[in-house]
Amino acid sequence: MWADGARPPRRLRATRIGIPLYDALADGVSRARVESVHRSAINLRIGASLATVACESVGGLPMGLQLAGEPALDRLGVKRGMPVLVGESEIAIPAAGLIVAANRGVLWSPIMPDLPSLPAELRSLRVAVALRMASDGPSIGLGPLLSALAGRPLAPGSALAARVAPVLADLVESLGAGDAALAAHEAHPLVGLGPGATPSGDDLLVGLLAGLAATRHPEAAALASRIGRRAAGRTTALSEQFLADAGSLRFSERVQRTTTAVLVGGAHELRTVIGATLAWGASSGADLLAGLLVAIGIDRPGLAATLRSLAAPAEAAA
Amino acid sequence: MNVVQQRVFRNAYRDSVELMRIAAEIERLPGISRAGLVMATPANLAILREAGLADGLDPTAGPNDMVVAVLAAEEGAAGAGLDRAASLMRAAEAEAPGDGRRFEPTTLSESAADLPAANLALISTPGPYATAEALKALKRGMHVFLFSDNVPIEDEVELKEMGRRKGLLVMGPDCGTAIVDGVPLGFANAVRRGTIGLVGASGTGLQQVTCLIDAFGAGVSQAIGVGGRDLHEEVGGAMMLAGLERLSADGGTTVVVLISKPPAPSVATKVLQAAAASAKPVVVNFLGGDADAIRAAGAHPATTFEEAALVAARLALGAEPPSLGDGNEEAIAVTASAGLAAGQTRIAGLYSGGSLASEAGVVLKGMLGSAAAEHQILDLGDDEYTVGRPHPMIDPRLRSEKIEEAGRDPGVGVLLLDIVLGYASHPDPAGALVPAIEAATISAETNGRGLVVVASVCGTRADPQGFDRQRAVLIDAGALVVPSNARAARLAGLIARQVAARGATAR
Amino acid sequence: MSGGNGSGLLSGGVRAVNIGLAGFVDPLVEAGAEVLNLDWRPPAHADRELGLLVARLEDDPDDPIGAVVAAANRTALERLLGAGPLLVDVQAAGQAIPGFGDRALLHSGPPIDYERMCGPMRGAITGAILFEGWAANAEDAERLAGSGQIRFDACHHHGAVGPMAGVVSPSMPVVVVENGPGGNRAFATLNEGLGKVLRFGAYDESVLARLRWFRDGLAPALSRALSLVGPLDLKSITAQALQMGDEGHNRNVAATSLFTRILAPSLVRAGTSEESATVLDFLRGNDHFFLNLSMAACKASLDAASGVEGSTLVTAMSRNGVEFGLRLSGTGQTWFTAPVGVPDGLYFPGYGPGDANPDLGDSAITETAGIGGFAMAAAPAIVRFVGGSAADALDFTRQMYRITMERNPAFALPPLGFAGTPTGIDARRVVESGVQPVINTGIAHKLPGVGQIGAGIARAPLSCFDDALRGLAARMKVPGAA
Repeated sequence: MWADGARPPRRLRATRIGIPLYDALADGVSRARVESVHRSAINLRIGASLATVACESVGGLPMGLQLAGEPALDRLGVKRGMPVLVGESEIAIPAAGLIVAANRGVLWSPIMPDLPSLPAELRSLRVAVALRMASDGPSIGLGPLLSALAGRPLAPGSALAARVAPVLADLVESLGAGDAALAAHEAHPLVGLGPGATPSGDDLLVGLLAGLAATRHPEAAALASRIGRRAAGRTTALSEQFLADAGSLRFSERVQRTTTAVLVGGAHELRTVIGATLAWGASSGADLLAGLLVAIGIDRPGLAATLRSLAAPAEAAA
Repeated sequence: MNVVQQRVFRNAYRDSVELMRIAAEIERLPGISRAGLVMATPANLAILREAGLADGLDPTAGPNDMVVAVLAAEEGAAGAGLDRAASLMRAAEAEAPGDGRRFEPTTLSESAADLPAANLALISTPGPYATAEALKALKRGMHVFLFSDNVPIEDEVELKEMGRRKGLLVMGPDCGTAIVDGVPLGFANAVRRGTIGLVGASGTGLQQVTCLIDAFGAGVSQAIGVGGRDLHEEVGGAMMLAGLERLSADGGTTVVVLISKPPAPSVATKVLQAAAASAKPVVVNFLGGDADAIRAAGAHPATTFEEAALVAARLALGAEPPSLGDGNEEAIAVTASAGLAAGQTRIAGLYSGGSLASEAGVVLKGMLGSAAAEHQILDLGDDEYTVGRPHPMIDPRLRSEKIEEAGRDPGVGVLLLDIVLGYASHPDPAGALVPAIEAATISAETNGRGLVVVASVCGTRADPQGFDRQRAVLIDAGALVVPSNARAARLAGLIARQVAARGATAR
Repeated sequence: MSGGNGSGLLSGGVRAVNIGLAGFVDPLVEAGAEVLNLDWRPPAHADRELGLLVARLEDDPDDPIGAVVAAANRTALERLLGAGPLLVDVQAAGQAIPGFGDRALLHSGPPIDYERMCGPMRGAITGAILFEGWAANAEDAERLAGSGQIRFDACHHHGAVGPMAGVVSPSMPVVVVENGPGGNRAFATLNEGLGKVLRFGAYDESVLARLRWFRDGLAPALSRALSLVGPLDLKSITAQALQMGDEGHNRNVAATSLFTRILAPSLVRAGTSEESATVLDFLRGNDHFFLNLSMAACKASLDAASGVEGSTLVTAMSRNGVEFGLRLSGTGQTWFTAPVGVPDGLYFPGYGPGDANPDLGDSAITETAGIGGFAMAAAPAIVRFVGGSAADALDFTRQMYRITMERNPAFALPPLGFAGTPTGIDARRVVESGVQPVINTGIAHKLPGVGQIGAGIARAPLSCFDDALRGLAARMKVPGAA
């Protein structure tokens, strides 16, 4: 493969690999291409999925593998569009002289761990605590929803949150009525909505589904699969993959960590995790957290009404 | 003066924090009153539009592209703002974009790499090119759903013969509806999966029957469309016979329903012979065909789509299906006609579904005999109305015009409408007609007349438009909504008869 | 909405290709089907009848025509991919080429009468006549050429190929390339280098002197060296060269270097040191020496794939400066022609499109075999000549994948992840998609003897492929064919 005598390939080794990606590699994939390159991650388009080669700090991903440490992945000469050879035990980008050995990585599961089932009042209490700790989150994207859920009015300039709130209210009610199909229909306008390489609406939905999965809501799977299927072509490639994963109730490690902390973590852990979550991206963490807390406290009486009261009059929405 | 400008950055992957910083900086530039930096997803484009920032946006911008949009006092400021955004984006760049353009497949042979083992081709190209595509698909072992019309009949015969030889389905040409293995093709509805298999030469006929089967609590295993000309002499019912054979052998089907306009006599004979030979009960609706011949073949005749659905559901469920509501039609007709003036004796049928229009015609003829001729039932999906215009199931404008016309016509007392829901149809067909219905009603009332609107909604609760919501919208607009098209035609006929009778006794 | 009791009309779930209205795609996706939306446009430049012909020639195991075409293409492609061209000797054309005849001259491109030939070709013919001594000066040579006493024929008809004017006369030495598996042979003259050369129509004393040295010095030396080193595997040299920046048509320096390296020891052993030095000097100064060998190797491979009844494989693309000619495996010796134009490219300083001769030469045989412009990904620098970027070079190759039957595993392209070169041009795909084969080419001055004035990229004209397919369809008795 390197017969032309070019410099020897650089080898990186996966320490962990998400089970869905492991399965995909075992299936024998023929064509793949580099989709995008970032400092801490390289995204590859493998068939219809987006797989990620990531630094350790990114954490486990359903369709991803972790490398040891924090190599600068944007300095390896990998460029978007480069062909990728995918085999059972390694992923190679010949044009950049890069080989990632995947076969010794520890298998990591993206399924939400089994958490104890909490009664509604206890969940409500935990949501309230988490919201207090999230009070100084970002004011962009859907971050403003966090303070609004805690009972404060929406900050001025939170047009997106004002727009999303009534949609979220409808969604909450449909879920309460056990109508996953209608809820999915209501969720549809949130896909691809808002700023960010993973749009705020998507992050909100992933958080929502994580919360529903963790609390074993009866409509979780039905709602998730519909949302996951409908995302194609309506949002960015990366977000599409996250929604597809969430569609099968598969979540990244950091989402699982946040969910677990909210449900069962001690005060110190909760404060730390919430702080870390709010720092994800520009508003991704806050958006996700808003969805997560709505889901965990979904049977709180008056939730839908509270959300509806946040909607601004139409003329001021822009 | 305010200027809106955008710039699109293809496949732009940037750190979100970076993007926020860029957006904030642009908004601070002199002359810029508003800036938006979003990925061009459908949801975000809608927001840009609402914010008035989307005018003139490149329509090819897609979800993986970034759009920077600015609202500025004048062009210079807008341009400067976009330039600044571009240079900030370049600075934030991790790698050169645009390496390796993908070629989207443009032909079937190119598609094999992206979708190996494809087994179905959906063809909706302009008619002259449809035959070649269908040939290619069949040669690749794919079944064909052929929505295109204006395909020469010789080609249809050739394609169906090839399909027969290869054991492949050729659904069409001019086939609007099918449901295969639970997957909706073309204009189809979200109906319950069950054990009733249908073969139909009419799109909206299939839609109405499948929706009513769903309403009766039963379900559909397969709905095979065969195209409008399948039961003509030249084509000889090729696909209907093939479909009947398949469903007779299909383990998932217990009842078969055949739907068509009256076939050519030789073809009807062949089809009924095949029905007689089938091990499964067969319900036949030839839309006004010979009921005795059907019974003689051991099949169950149905004169309306509702009857076909009812009989099939009864057979499939092995029990009497729930009633759709036996409202007292005569009483409703009397009440409704009371608001009409003496001269308003005519029904104006304005249909988007051809078979539904035909069914209305058959029902009225059965009720009123030769007097049915004075009522005008229009199929607005017919070729004469759709040249250079989208089909009324997608675009409500022509129907709206005709509704308002009817409101101004002093001889028209009843508007008869079909609202067809389902995939590929207009997202809010009822709502789209409400302004015209209201205008027509007002127009009539202003001139001392009434106007009765009778409508049926062909759809299910699971359809994207929502059956209940569509029904509610029509009722709010003052229409009489009945569970099936046949009932709607019947009700319209009863009302017209009432008005005519009143006029006769008044003399 | 999936399920039922497991039986279904379509086994394995619905896997659909959508051809036409994009609005039909979403409902299928929601229902859990796999859907691919084609970026469809009317095939065969919206010619309905032609589009139907293509459809009727598609592979089809259940159809007499479709089955024959499928099997024929498999056979022809196997022969093309399995060819093993070896350089076995260098001999005088009159001896090596069967049926050359007495007063005969070969030229590039499809057959053409002397009166219609372009400037460079007429110049080359004058030069050839002078070289053979059939006339004493240029005016007499031209009179002789127009007199009918000389038989002109296409190189292709005699297993030969020639770059640019491609004129071959009996005394000119030609390389003899033999295809191991098929046993057939192909021939080409020796490449003269750049500047004032016969193939651009020059015929002054320097040209004739060089031709004489080829005949008396270079050819015998090469022949002796070959007898020592044995037959040279040309395919192997090409495969290596493609990974060293050559594409086999307009960039040949790597292949020439490899060839020289292989031959040098035998050259030295088989001749005097002075003779060998002269030959090696010549090879050192001629970056394009391997081009003619590359062309002959491609010709040998494609001839082996010719004459398979029913095959839509393209076996020759060639130009004579007036017309472009095309041959298919399934239509035998028939040429399908169309007027040829001036290539699109960059001109050397002082020249412009007004000076250019229309496209000329048999060298498009390299593209026909899947290298040259088809392997542009291997030599991105070429694309400078049309003002493109390195990424564009990759795209040219990618585009050619759309119209070829196979990726040749023997010729791997590193910039494309070692994918094989696009090989086996399928006339059906060209006609259907409208994608024209891309050809890397030099641009000649229209006046004889001036030489190369630029380089660029040409596209094979579609009408030849349309005609060829119609010809094949008529031969196969496809319904609706003319």
